[in-house]
Amino acid sequence: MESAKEKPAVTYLKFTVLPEVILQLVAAATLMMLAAVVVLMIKGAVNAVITRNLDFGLTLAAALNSLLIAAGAAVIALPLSVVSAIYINELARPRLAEALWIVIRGLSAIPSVVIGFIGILWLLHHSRLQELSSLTFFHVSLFLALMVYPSLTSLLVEQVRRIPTSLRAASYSLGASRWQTIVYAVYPAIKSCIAAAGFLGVGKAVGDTAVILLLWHAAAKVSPAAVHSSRLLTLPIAIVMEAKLDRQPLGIYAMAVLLMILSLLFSSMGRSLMRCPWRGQE
Amino acid sequence: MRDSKLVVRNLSVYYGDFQALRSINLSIPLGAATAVIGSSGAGKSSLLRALCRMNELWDNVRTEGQVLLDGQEIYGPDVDVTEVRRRVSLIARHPYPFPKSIFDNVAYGPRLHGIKDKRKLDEIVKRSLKQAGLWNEVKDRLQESALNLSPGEKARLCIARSIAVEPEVLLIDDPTYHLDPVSAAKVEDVILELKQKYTLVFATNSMQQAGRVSDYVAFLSEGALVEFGPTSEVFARPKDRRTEDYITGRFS
Amino acid sequence: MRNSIDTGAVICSVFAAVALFGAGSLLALMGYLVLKGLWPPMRALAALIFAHSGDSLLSIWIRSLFLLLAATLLALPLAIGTGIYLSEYTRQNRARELILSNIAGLGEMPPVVYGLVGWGALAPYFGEDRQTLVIVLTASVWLLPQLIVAAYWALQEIPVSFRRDSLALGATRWQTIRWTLMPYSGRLLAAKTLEGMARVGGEAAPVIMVAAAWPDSSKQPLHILPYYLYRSLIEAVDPATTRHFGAALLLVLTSVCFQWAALRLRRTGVVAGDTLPGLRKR
Repeated sequence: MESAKEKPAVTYLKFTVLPEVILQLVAAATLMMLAAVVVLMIKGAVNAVITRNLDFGLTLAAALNSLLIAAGAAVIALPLSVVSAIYINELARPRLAEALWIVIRGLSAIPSVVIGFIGILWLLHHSRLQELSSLTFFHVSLFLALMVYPSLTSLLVEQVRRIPTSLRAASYSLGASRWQTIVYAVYPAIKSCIAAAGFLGVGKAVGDTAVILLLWHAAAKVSPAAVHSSRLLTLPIAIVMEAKLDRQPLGIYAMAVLLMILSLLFSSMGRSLMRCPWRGQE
Repeated sequence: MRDSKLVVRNLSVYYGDFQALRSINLSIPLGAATAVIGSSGAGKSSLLRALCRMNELWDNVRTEGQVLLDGQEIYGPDVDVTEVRRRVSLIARHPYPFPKSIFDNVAYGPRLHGIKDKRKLDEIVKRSLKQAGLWNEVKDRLQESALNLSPGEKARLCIARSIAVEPEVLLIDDPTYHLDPVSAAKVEDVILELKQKYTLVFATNSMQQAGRVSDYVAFLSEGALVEFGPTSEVFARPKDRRTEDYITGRFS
Repeated sequence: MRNSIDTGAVICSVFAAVALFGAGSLLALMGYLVLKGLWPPMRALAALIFAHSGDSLLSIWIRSLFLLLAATLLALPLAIGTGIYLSEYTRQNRARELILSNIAGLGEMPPVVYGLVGWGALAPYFGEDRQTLVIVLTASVWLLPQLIVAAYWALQEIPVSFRRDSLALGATRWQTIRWTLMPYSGRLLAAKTLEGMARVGGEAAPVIMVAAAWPDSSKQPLHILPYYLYRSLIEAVDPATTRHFGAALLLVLTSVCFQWAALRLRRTGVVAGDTLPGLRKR
């Protein structure tokens, strides 16, 4: 109080600028690095298109294959995920739900090479060798679904958890049974999240490499005919194959950009649908 | 009339297109408690925040006019904002202690301003807690988490936290918000004590509280300052119709 | 008195010099001994980590863990700096949202795309002999966007009232970050970092791409567990060997453990506070 008159309100800025300058530099460098990654891809892709170093037919076919396989995986995994999420949150007893949640979270970290390994084992043990020519989208989608299922489930569990208890309470107070509450209160509340999870699942499956690559090699070893049908030629596979062939095939960048666009498209669609309307409710 | 600690000249605050304060002119007297009253949305919080440049933290806020602290402009280009905020400390409506121990909460401010000596910190914490009327309740559990305190104690802890930086002006936004009458009475006692030492400005919705605690009253309505004067005068003989209606609880 | 020498000071400085010299030489000697004693084991460790051919699964596992750790430590400071900058120093507006959603999109890109960065930009630059470095750099480029988003959200999760109260006590922006925000964002950041490590550490695709830069090289990066599994699965006549199962098990265990650790950290990282509408988080 007594010093109030002596101390001027106007004091010059303290020496606090240094950390901010450092932060700014770090941020600028990092963001530029990330931008460089994108620029590298786009530059390569544009070059490929300009110099006509791009096999349009192959690229489009690969993209189509990728999409079909990924969509298949999402279609297989999604119903399972929805049922699991609802079971974990609404039906299972708390301790069981907790255990299941931990298991699901753990499963979602399983590397795709391991899924591919399982796929190979299945191929060799449960299908006769002659039938390998029937290695179809369905088989690959099945294993991709295995890979995508835990992450979709844990995503949905989190969304179901966010539904306010008041919603369920309201349903129960109107005399609804548990089952009716799930069907008429819980399920409609996560409808858009289910669609979002579907998109995110496709986005995740579309870029998978190891599973398909391993299945491809396993199939090729047994019957080359299965591979020549090029049904498994997805974008990531095409990228890996081309990378082995030549030092600088430009088409590879075009494929990568296409893959990036697909992945970005699906993940951003998923994220925009994932908006949570429950802010601030109990 | 006493000397003025803070002088507000033509202060207007806009949030986007919405004008929250309409060219307020006000002199806040030194060493007294000034209550800012008015219905919610009248601009009480905006006024308090504008007095210590906290309103700058809100999105697309625009401030026009001047606020003078001891005759010096606080919105000037070369002013160190942190210095202004240290000298004019705002205690927000929702008292949230940091999730640290009681001691660390109070010592937070002094530590920021470079006090590292343990004995000095001890002394500051003790004095601040005493002034906030909390010392006797917490002196044996200074190292416990502040989150376990009751709401009333949290409110007083936040007051202690602000006192610890030795401000010249204390701005308190609704000190008894959401408190039960007993806790509220304790907080009011603290404010009565504090006004001996600090220039105090507090916003409140309660006429009784303004009457009990404040020396001066500023009545805001829809962002404009309707009336300002010594509490006894304003409460006994309001000059403006709106003030009278508000104080007596008549609304047409 | 003017000419007389302060004998006390002279003696003092002589004593100080002798003491300093003695202590210094002693310290140097100790340091030499420590270096001498620890150098062989350190070298052995380094040799173990950077050797190009894998022998036992355990050593492959340890090496890939070390490389993952190196990639994380490389990416983490940059990511934290950028995250803090984006969260605390930029205005909450469209531009920031755009940058953030792009970074998040980059983080969700398929791993092959990052492999392509390693293959196309890093591999030609560093050459065949520094394959390990290329792989580590590729992994850290992949981790970078994930960790930036993690650091950003770890800061944004902290209630605004923390910033408000700290600033109201006269703290500068940097002090607020250092003393009020960082202590409470650490857990969430650590959790998300572990999740990123689980993802990156288990993924074979980037390594496959980098290895594809030198398809005929004898120095295939077999010291990285997912690639090792992939490679030996492709080459094996019978995939169902104990060694493959062991590698897969190690891979799963590592990833799942990272994920579970992240889950534990996440659960206890909540702080109470006020979320004030309109108050910007920066």
